[in-house]
Amino acid sequence: MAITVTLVHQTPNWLRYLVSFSAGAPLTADITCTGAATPDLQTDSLPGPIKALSKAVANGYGQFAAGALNQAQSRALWLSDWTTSPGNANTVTARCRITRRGALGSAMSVDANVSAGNPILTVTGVHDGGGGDYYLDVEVPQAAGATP
Amino acid sequence: MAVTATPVYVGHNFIRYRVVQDGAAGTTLNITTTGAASPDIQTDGLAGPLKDIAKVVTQGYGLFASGAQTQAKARALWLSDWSGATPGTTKTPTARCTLQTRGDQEFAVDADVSGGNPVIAITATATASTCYLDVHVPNTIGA
Repeated sequence: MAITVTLVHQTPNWLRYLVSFSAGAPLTADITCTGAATPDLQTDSLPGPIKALSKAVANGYGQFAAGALNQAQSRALWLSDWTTSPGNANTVTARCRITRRGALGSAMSVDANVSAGNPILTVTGVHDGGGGDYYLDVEVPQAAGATP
Repeated sequence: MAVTATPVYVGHNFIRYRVVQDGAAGTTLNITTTGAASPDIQTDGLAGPLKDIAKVVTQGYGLFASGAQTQAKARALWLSDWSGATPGTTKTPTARCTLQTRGDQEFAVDADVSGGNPVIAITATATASTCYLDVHVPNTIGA
């Protein structure tokens, strides 16, 4: 597998994944939120804001009605990007952040999308002849105990 | 010295370092935790979770017994990466390191040990640049 995503820490409003990739395609991986095998935001999270967000399709979440979501809604939920999403931005949503652990010369990005109406996080690696290790933090900044 | 780290903000559970690569030889820097000269978490930190974690070798910390640590334990303590051979559960509040570039070059942060003492290891390119390193404990009041 060219890119692996491993859960290394979990709290009710914070998940930390180790994202490692080596030479070879594909250099993308999806983190689902349907309750599938890890890496999955619903499976990996403890009871709290992240788990509630991950159940948006089944239960709805704040101003987001239950049912299939689109990429704009997914970006609002998981990247706190409310450019084109319902209502105001007062609903507590998540943020993703990447920190490089090694392998200067490579790069990693994260975006939110949907797969058959279910939100996913997609991580994409770019390498310069090698691989790299990164941490991906998924957290809800305004929740109790989270960082500002 | 090629890579330097200067504390620019110090809280009880948050230290921000300005990390500068001046372009001279050398691309790595270790931030120690032993109470040595700055940059050192124990020296630079105020009383609180970060200083407690920094004293793990002499006092132990939560489920971490005192004494020499391994890299897996250092990664658990300073990166909240519990994937290695670390003790007990992940309910012990541990630290997280994040980087924010201020220039156009890359930096990386890892945790390791030197003589059994945890260090936060910074790696930079050979080109002059600046970034901020935040060391904080996310699940504590005020973090």
